[in-house]
Amino acid sequence: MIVNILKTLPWYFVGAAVLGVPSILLIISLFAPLDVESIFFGSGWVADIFMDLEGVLEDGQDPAMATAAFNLLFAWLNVNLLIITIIFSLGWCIGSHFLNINEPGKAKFFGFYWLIVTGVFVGAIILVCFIVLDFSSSFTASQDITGPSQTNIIILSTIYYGLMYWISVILGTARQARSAVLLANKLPARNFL
Amino acid sequence: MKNFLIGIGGTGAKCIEHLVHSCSAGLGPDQLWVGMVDQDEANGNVNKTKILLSKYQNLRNSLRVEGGNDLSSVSNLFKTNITTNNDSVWLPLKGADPTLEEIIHYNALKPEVKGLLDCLYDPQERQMNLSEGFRGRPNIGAAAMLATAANENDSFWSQVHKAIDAAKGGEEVRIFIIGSIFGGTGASGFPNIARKIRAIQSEKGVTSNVHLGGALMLPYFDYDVPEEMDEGTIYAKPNQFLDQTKAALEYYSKLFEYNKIFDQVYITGWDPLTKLPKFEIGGNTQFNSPLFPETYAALGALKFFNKDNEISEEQQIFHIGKNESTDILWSDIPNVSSNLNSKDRIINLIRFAFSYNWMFGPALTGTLSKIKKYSNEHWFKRLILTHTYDDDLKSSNIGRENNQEIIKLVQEYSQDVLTWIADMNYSTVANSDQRMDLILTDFFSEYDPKNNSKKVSLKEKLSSDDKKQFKKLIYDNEELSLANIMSNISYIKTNRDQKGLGVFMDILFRSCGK
Repeated sequence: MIVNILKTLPWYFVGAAVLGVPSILLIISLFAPLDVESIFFGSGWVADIFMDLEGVLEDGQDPAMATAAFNLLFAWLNVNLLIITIIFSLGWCIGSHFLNINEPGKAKFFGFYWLIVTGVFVGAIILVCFIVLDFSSSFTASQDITGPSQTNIIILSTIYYGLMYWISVILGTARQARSAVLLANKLPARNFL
Repeated sequence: MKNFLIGIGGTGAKCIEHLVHSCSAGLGPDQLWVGMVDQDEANGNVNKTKILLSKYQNLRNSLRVEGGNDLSSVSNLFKTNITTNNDSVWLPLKGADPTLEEIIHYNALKPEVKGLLDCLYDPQERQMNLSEGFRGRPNIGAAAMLATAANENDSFWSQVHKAIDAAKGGEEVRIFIIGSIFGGTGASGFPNIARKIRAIQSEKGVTSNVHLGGALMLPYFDYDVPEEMDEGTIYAKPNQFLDQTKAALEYYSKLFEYNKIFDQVYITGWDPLTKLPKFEIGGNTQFNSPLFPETYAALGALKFFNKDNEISEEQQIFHIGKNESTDILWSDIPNVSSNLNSKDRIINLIRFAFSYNWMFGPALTGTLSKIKKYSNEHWFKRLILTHTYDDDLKSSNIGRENNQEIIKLVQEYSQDVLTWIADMNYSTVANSDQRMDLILTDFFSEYDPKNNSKKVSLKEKLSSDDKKQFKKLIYDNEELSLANIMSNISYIKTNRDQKGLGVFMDILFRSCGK
């Protein structure tokens, strides 16, 4: 069993890296000071998209300070979402080796389990977004996000991390349990993964 | 190296059953010719072994076709190429209802020779119908065997002649004989056939390359004779087994002292004797269950044929028995060689048979449209679809008649393996305080000692609780669940030479091992 898990894990990491690496790069760039001379690192493009600049100016805040605070909020949001995605996807991938698939035709019945795990995962993503963007007192920048922007962040985060979860799970699920994962058996190289 | 095995009498046939299953588990040599000797042509055990041999050969031939369904040469499943004559049983005495008087032409003998024969055989023995064997009378069997000519025209003896000719050509030949010491056919055939082989060797002037081994079964079972049995009827009497054995051992001790007939002899017996549930004088109703001591004879033969077995100049006599307690354990099963673990291979085969019979065999049986429901599963795509894909059909040919025939044959063979091990498990210790701690049988089979021809019946379907018990199927071994097997078949690498259904069969077999 352990050997089979170890055989699958590299594929899991490949799947997770597809969207995990861009996420890590984004987090690093958000943690970097704004005055770094780089196109990507230390830039304020995320704040430009999601932050309510008019509101910031109306409140008499320094836009540079507000952008730095927003970047910090967005970085921590992504750290949390990334951790949750890794926990759920890695947990499923390892756990799928222990599913009681003991005869032909049984794997698809575990699709129900996968849906439950996926549902809980999506719920956790949305909940974390809400906590960080709405209820947390640690991040003052949360007041600089408008309602529509908040909805956009939640939707985009759910799609992005949901996709990361799905790709890593599709590649990292135990071979015998692939029928349980949506479209996992439609991959072109499915026989060799 | 050429290997020949001769099973004499009912015990010989039963030991061959164990040997065939051991060969399918990969414990046998690359090649083996098997023949049986029994005057009781209709004997239930002999027929059962005959059918088993034919099934094995069919299956092996179907699964080792280069370019077709091929397990490949590296696979241990059905490793040994077992060959037989068209009729694998040799009847020492031909013709309908032969008697000793007819064989020795009693009526044509001179009065003084007749007198000598009258001293050795009473009238009842001389006139006994021998079509059902020698009924526990080795004196009759010995005379009958010696009266037959071992010439090359006889298909059985022609194999021995060929073997010795091969030895003359420089090839190493190993011949192994299995028989009981206490019955009729075995007790009479064992020394006489061995001596005939040596005589042929001597006639042909072959002094080396021919090695002769044998397994002698000392008493290991008995039975209650029905009270209604007529005192005058001739049959193998269990109360005479020990006396017969004592006399026979004295004979062998003399034989071995002055004449090196055998290179290696394996001797085994059992104490307490296993009580057979039903007595049958012979014929097609004599269906004795497989018993554990017979495994020793089978493994002895495989050890003899093993390449690592170096045969010395001295005559070697091996004896084996189980541990001192009343429990029969896996550790009581000897290895065929230092790098061929009998226990592991047999366990592998049992698990394969179980998972095939109840899990994979049924899944692969039927038309393609029925089987296709598994086409989304990794194991099916990797091991079946990819390797049975037909370019003309543009789909898998798994549903085709020839493939379905193989799938059915493997299932039948799997049932034979499970029935064999379960029956041995039940019957060896029946009516005794012994315990067989090899496998857990209750959850997949039922035992009915009164049903002579089918003492063990396998369940048609298993419940989910039964399937969970698979983990505990083998005592004294690392637990392996059906889910583990499912996982293994998805990960174990296939071999390039494997083709068609051979890929799946070998991967499943390997998935059931360590």
